[in-house]
Amino acid sequence: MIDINYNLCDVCGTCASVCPVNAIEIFEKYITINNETCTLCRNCVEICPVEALTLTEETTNVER
Amino acid sequence: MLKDKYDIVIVGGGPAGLNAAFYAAQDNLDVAVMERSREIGIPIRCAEAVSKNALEEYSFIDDNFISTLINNVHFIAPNNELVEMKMDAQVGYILDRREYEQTLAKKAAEKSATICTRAHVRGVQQISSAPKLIVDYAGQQKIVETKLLIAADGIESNIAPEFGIKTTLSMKNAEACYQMKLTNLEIPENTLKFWFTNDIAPGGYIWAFPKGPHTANVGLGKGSKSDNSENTKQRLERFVKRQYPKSSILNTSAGGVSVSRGLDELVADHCLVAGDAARMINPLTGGGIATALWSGKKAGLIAKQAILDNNTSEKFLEKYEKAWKKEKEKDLKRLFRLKEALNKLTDEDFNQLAAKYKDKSPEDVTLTKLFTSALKNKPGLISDVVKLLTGV
Repeated sequence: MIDINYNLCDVCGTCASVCPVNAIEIFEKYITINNETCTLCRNCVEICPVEALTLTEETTNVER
Repeated sequence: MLKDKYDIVIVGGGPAGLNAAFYAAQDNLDVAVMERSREIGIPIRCAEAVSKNALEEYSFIDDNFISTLINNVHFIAPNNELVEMKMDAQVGYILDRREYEQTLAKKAAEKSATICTRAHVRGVQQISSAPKLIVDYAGQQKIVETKLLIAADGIESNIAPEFGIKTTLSMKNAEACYQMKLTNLEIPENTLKFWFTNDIAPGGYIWAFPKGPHTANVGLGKGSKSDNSENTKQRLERFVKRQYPKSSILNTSAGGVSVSRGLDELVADHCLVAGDAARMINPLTGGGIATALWSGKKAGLIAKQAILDNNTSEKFLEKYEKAWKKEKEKDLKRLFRLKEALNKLTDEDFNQLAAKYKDKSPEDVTLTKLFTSALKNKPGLISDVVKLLTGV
């Protein structure tokens, strides 16, 4: 999944503009990423101007 | 207060949304602007430059929201060679955007539009004859019905996709920016400064726009597909440390910009999309206020007509899309081709360009001349130039 560092995030919305599945919602002071719809395409990670987003090892559909 | 039903709901209280409200509003219509933030005019994610032409034609000019008058441009090459030039057409302004948007909101309210702050349109529950919107307002979730919606919700553009209008930017056509409002720096008062250097701003540029004595908006945009070894913020910090080491930071902001050819589709049943949400941004400069005002005005007028004629179908609203294609789209596509060609220039190309123009009088240099000759000097780019000039 995509991890959000809320200390770095400036809530600028750039990530949402490149999200192909509209999974990122921008609130007044924070953002959310819907893990159900996120396809882990990494667009948001690559474009974030302050590197607030990272792709973590843990994924949603891994069999234990 | 928020009502249960409106004729027109405008999502987003920026220049596009507020101008739409101004042109859509009249006494017997219920028009509301829903702004997520707690205040109109903040946060400012913008370098605040706009042409005099655009303000006059689609909005109005008032001294209370003008920070600086602009009539000069400095182009600075990677080797620090400076070329001074007069602007292509009219002079421009650096706005006080907070003050400007508050003034726009007041004007729209005087014409009977309702401005709602802290009203976050989360999504659409139902799109039938009248869309039902899910709105977080003052700590509660409400359902608000509207006959027509104008999506002017900015770069993130979450609402238009719910009506089937695809707004997602490809990575190639999106740029991330970072800006600082700096003080205690030396900057000529009426001058826009641009630095082109692939070392610091690959696929983009650095700007410094004066905001009054010793103060400026200094920012950096870079292509998202360029060198990712350093993020946008770090690149700007590196530049400021080099260029303005004694300055202090008054505020910082990040922001995204579309550098695309715009959208193919701007309307759906009961929905129009305007401004940054519609990717109506000059892809060469990243400037979006002028087209936001154009689209707000156009969308507002057509939305009003749709309500008065009781026809909010896609077919009726296509007037808006046709106006865009007729009046603006060609310019945007031409600027896109120019931008694509400029992106191929190396630091050495920029240096040669500056050397060629440095002794010319500023009156004889224009941005178009500069960029056009930049491309002519690059044999590999001749086909791009031909395409640019012939509009193919």
